[in-house]
Amino acid sequence: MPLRLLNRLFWSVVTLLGTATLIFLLTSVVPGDVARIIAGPKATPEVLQQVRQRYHLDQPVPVRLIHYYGQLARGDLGHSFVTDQPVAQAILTRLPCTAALCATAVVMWMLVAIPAGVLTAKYRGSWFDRAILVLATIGLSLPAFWLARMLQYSMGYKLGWFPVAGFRSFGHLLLPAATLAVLYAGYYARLIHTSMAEVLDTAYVRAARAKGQSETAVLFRHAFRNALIPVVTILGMDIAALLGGVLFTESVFALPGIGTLAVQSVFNLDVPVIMGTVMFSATMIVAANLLVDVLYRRIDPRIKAAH
Amino acid sequence: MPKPTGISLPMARKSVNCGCMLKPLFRALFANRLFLAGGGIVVLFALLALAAPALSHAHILREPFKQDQKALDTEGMPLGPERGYWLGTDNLGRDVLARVVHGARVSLTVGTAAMVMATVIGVAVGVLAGFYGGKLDLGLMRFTEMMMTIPPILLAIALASLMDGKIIHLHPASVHWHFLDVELRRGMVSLFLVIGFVCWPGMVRVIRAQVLALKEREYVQAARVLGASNLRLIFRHIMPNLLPIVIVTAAMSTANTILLEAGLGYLGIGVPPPAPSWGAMISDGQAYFTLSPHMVIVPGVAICLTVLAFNLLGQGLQDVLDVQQKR
Amino acid sequence: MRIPKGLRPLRRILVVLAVLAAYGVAGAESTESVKPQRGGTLQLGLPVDWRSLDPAVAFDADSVPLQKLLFRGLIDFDDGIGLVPDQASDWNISPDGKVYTFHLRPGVRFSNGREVEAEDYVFSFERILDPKVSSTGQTYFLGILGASEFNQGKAAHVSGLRAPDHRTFIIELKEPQFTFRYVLAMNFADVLPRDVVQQYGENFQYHLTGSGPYRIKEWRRNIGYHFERNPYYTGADGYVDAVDIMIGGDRTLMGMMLQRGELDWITGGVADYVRFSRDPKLRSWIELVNTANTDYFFMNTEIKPFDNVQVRRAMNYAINSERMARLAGIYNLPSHEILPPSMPWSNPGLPRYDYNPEKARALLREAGYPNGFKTQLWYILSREDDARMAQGIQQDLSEVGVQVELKQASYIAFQLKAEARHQVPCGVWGWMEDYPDASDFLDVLLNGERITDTDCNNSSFYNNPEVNRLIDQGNASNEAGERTRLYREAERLIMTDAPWVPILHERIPMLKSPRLHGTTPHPVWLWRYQYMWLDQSANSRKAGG
Repeated sequence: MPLRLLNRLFWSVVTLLGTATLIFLLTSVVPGDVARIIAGPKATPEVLQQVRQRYHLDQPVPVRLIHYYGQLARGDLGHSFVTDQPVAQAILTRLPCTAALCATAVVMWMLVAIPAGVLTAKYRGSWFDRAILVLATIGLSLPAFWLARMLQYSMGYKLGWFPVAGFRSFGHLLLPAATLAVLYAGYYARLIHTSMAEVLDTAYVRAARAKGQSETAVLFRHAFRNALIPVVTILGMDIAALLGGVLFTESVFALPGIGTLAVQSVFNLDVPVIMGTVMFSATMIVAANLLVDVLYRRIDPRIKAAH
Repeated sequence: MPKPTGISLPMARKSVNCGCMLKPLFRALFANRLFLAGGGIVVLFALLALAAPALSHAHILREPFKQDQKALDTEGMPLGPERGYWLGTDNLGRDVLARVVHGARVSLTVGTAAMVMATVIGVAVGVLAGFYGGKLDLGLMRFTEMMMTIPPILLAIALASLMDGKIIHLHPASVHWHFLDVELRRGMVSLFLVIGFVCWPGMVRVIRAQVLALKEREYVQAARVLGASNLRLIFRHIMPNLLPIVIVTAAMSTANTILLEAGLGYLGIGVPPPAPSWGAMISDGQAYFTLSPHMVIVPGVAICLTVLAFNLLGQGLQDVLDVQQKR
Repeated sequence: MRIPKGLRPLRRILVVLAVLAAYGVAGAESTESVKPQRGGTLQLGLPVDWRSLDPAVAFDADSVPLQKLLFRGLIDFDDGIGLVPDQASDWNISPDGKVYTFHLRPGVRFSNGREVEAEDYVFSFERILDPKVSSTGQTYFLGILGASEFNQGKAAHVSGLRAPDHRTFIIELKEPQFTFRYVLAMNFADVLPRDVVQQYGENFQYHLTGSGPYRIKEWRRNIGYHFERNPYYTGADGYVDAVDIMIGGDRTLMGMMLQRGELDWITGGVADYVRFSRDPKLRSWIELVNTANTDYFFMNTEIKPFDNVQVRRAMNYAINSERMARLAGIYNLPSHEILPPSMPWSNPGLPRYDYNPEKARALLREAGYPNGFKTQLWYILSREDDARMAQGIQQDLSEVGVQVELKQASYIAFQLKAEARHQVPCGVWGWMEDYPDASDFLDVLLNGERITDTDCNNSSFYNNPEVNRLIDQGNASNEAGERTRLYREAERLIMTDAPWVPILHERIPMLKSPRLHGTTPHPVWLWRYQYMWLDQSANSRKAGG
């Protein structure tokens, strides 16, 4: 494995450890007697003592931190205070739903963003360009929970075009995915626009035009692929963040994903679950960054050429 | 139109805030439709927010806290928009218009305070990292990266949910320095602190990149050669030239902080009731949604407009100041 | 019992059906001449999941009707409050009232195929008393001979539980106890297969096995359940082929799903109830169910200024129970007494504190608080009704000069705080009847002798020696008339001392889809899924919104 990659891997792990420390320290300010919360209100003193020992609650914070690192290394994210279910299991059970939702959403918004971005790059300054800009800004300004509720009410309930909630079939993901798509489509259209606009101005493309290639060939063969690179980078990071919990959308549509898990754990002050979801998202983001970095180096011809 | 940032050597020796450069700048700004639209809405809402208590006192606007039994229909359900109540009432008989206007106070205050906090910290970290470079840069950036791996909303939720009145003793148990006790109670202060804390990492990269670019400019090199101290370099040359990008980022990040505040209010961990918070209003209204949708629609529109306004404002500023923003 | 996590606890009513009729059980289907159809999947929705559906552990109004689908026991209630044998073929009580003998019906099998034996009953009852299991129902079984010794670890078995042969199960009590027969109909007395429980130990909750008409096919925590038929069940009930339970979502969402045909039976939200009752097409979808509960505003008599009886009475005058009841839900009944009206203990001599802010202010002045005072009001975050009531109370009290800071807590945190001494000055809470006896409210919640420093159900820490004496005497007596007299007097004294402001008695607005039948409420079980059936003809599917 190339040294550069090892170096990145090492620093990724360090970053994750740092995140874990941060989260642990922040949540060790947990309200109330943790042992009682876990054991339940009717627990006897013996049970409480057992719980304290099991979770190392009477140890000083640095010791507990080390224990936590050990846990994380084993992939053990602790147990829910409320249901005693292993957090890792809870997250993994819900991952498919959230992943499916995100994948559908990404496909939806790219289907809109790519043509919009390419066209507005080609026809810069036109009314179409300005309109897309405004729509993109509006999309970013909508609160997710509100948009989700509006769409659910109008298209699910009133018009009956989509199921209202739950995850009984793939069709149940369409409306939630559409919610996310509305939020991000405009933004990605603008990203592609900016990226394409830059590329279209480069000497590389001018050379292709000079060589007599048709506009379409110029657009798609040369400009597009290069323009996509920075967009993919950002997409990678966004997906990872999305996976961390599309909290509001999932919660409104009652989808059994990681987002609903996070929201439920807030109401129950279920600290291990809150911590677990954060660590999971952090891991996803770091992994995505790593992956994007690797891919970037492989597909960007300029960097490839440098080697 | 002349662009005001770092143009030519003699002009750049003075700080940006020089009268002769501002007039063309303002002209450019006011010609920009986005800036006007966004700025206009922001100013309007800010004025309404500031004037809200006075308006309620003068009975032009109703009290947002008054639960009026008569403002509900015969079955105790909220009234829809009608002559007496322009935006209807909520389930406790409170005037929605009054609550939305007073809610602007909460959202704008928390949003702005959080933005200021995030900007101050973000600029500090970015400048230190970019200017001094080396180990400091590496350390600060690593720390920022760590913060950025946590999705902001999750971190905000985790932090905000811990605010339940517990007292943290920052002093060792044996020493009774009770002024070092911090009470974590829910309120505007703890809210903007949480949101600010969550948002500052997003600003660092941009600031740092700009600082790195500015460091290489001729006038900075020149000043250094002339014997200027680091601090003088930072405060007289770098910071003022950061102003444009800081302003743009600040505008856009206010949009973000307001969305976060609404989200936290929606989950019930924002400002505690009966304070009118747009997010909490939406959450309260959900139970009555199919019967009285205005309870959910109205605060939602308010949030959209405000956030949109800040985004447009930032977009307009960006256009005019021609600042390149790369993530 | 306490109302956990936004779910409602089991309610038992020893009520004459006339009382039910007087409180208007809307939508009672008297025209059930249509024959029930078998088949279809019943779609249910619930807001939160439980730790487990294990009958030893789960004990609330949402889970008990579901448990009846999975687990069964010796006796059950008929369509009313009479007891009939269920999986016992017959039973008798000895003349001294201490020995209960049951003969088990042959051919009754668990969902894994094995036949139910008397030893299984001995095991299941002992399990309730097992200190390691820590069952919520322990207290009800302590009257059995040898139960305390077993519970304290001094004996290996409960001497009062015997299985002379596979078909005969005998219970001997320490003393005759009239209410014990009702305990036998509760979910705690349902039978579990001893081999399966012993095999899985703590993981039994993931392998629940019972003798009911259904068994759990799939359980995804906090996501949903799927029940399928128990192929070995021989009873006639259980019409639907499967039950699908979705967990999560608020009541508004469930209302929308109901109208779209995605759910069949839900608890209606406040707004949905009104909306449905206004629409002539939707009115028949409502099923209003009475419960034996009281929601109340309690004041901690050990924390100032609530140690002053004038202040407490002032609070009673200041809070408008009628308005609070409506805020919580228009279908609720405002309350001016401790015991719910569904109990046969109506008490005409109670002092009344009708809404009167003037009087409240006067009393506060008398008590030495002419400018009011500041306090904190606690409530459970996840209970929407409590949240609305808390805000309403905050408003009412501010009008008499009392500044209330609202403090929210999760259910568990709230319970810990409210049940501990000197923690919570006042708050909003509720209690639902465990079984039809006034002692369930008065003794558990307001008897000063039961006060402990933590885990104290008497969250007012109210201690009046006279009241304590009356309650204790009532508990000890076996004569109905005398008990009524003593408890009435106790309630009267309590209302005079006013440690509470009673707010409302809850009613549950259930909403059902038009293709669902058999939803007549039951006085004890609230509703019985095993008698619900779906009309599967094509035109009954959706009614739209």
